[in-house]
Amino acid sequence: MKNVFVKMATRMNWRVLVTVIGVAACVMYLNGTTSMVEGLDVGTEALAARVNQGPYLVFEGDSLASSAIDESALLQLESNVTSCWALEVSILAQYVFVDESYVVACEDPDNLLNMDLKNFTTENIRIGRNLKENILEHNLSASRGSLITLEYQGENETLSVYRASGVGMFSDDWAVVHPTIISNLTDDPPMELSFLLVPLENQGDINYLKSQGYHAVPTTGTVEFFDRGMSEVAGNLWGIIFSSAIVITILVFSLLGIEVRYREKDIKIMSQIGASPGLVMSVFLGQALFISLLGALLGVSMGIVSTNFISSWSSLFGFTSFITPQMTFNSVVVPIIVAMVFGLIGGIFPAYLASGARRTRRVPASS
Amino acid sequence: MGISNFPQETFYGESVYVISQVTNDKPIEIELAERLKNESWVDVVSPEVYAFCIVKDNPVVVRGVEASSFLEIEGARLVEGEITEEFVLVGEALSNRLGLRNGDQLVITGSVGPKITERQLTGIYRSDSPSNDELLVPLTHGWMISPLGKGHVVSIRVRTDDYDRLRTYLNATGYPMVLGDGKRSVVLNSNVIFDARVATLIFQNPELGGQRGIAHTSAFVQQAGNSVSLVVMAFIVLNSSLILLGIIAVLSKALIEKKKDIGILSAIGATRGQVSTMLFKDLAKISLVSVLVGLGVGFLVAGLVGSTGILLLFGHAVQPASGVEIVLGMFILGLSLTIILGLLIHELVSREKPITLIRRIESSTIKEKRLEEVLSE
Repeated sequence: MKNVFVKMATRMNWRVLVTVIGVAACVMYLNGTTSMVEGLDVGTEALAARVNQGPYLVFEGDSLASSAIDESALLQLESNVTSCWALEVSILAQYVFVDESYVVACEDPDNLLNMDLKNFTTENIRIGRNLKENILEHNLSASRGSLITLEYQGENETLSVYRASGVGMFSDDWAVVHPTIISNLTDDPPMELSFLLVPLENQGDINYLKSQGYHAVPTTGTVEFFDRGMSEVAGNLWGIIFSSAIVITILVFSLLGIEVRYREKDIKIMSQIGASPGLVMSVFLGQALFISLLGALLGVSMGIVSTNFISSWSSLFGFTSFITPQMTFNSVVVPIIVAMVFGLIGGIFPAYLASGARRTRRVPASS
Repeated sequence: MGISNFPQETFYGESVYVISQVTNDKPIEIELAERLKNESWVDVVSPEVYAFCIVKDNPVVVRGVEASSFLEIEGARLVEGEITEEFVLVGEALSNRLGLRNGDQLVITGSVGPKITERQLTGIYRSDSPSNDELLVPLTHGWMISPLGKGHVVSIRVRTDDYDRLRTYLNATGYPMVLGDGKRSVVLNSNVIFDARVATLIFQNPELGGQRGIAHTSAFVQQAGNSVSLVVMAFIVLNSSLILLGIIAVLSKALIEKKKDIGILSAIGATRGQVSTMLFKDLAKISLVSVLVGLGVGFLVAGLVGSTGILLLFGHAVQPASGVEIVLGMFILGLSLTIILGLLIHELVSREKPITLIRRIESSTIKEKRLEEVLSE
């Protein structure tokens, strides 16, 4: 009986062939677009790989000054991180008000900031380039040794400029001081940590901090910009999968609908030799699966050929791009699964009709 | 869906040309923008710096600009807040998408190098271009978060009605640069081979670019645009074939189910022409209704996509393309496709004898294996 089932489900005729080609076109579409999008993904990743990626910035809320990191979270981390405090203060140069800006202090055990903070004393301040220019615009001195006063809620600290050539990865209009200065300005109780800098490779720590509700953003945005951008494009693929799935369903539904009409006599014979309605139904469902699988395999092959053809030959028409289609699980296996699942769905109703056809339809007497 | 217009709309516009660098060692200086502003034949000049950032966990393009020039060249306007010296303006679409309000604090990090900054939003602007999904900051801030040195810009966008004069002017500077109008790019004052194929090679083999000292930045931008267009083109071609297949499948099923009726009509003396005419009338009615329904559903979906901004491409909401020509084109294409395909299928069906059609048995011209033959194999 198994042999009969297989023979009937895999029976070929011109209608089946046309439907297989139709399913193949759908799968080619799915495979083609997915592999092109994945190719775009690889291209952008290659671009991103050339970028100097900094550590992750972890903070809470919308502003670094109001952000507060619970220090107990640090105990759960597996690696060293850079701990920072940030305050928005009034900055005075030689006792003249210049600007409101951020002053930051950090504990940087692994020199992640590359600022050599170990040689930094409680009498010194580093100022960013833009802050320096701002001071100079006020006709004040910003050179080494110049006095800078920080005012915060009635407290003040006067420090001498240690370096005015930049503050590393911090904003050029900020200043960097020793952590003691922040403690002196905020008085008791000690201020909570404002933000952390976590090395990129410590993904476990980054994920843990995210799970605790903190924001974790890369200090170099390009890589994640393209990563997330590609996720947006990939999200749009669902629309393509959906449209292909609908067409595959319609194709298989139409074909099996026609097949049931043409095979009424066969169905009658099958029932007369003892086939149950379930077996008749399974024969047509088997045919739906067979058509979908055959179409899917053909479609993936056509997809591989056509996308590579497009990307290789488009430059001859003055249309070059850096996309190399990528054959991955998403671009090869997913289209096959989609085709089979929706082919089967398309086949359910005609198969159900076929299983009841022997009871409802009369087989023509002649022929 | 308007995706293919995206690169064009992002950088260009009506009579807008873009000046960009040919090589990294010869960046475009902002002084060129200042000089262009003094020319009477130039309408607007907008020097710009681009940074690709993550803001509020979303990919956002941050442009370092001169606010008034940028708003003018984009045809955008401020709907809330003001342009201060330290302005941070957000496009209305981005503001709605991320829930940003005037006065909000924004932590902005670097683009291609580590940087941490924080700024306060000072206004919201509205534009009809993809820039409605962007963040604008002063050039000084742009320089801080982008890899460019102070005084350099990624591009200078110029609006003028006199392209030839612009080209002559730029040629006369003797400085190497690329002038683009969205369709083609012209290299000025440089013998660098500005070929997209060379750019692709350099992209795939960075060491090659290093040896030659060529960055081909402009070509890469063009490449990125091409790549998106290529994917979109593949979408359109493959989608069209799917639509065709869907129509054929549905029409075939419908016509085969009508075989008996066609057979009876033929048996009582209707000629093939008469049957075809009847079928044409039926198909015309069905096609008209289905095409109108399809167009209606399509417009609803496009409207939904446009108003909600759910179709995102690198942080920009894609706006569906619309217009009389698109509607008319879709209408005529849908109608004619359905009718032509229906008549073709009828032509195939009507080759059979009326008695064959009435009995719904296999055509005598197409031999298929009977069940008995299949089972006896």
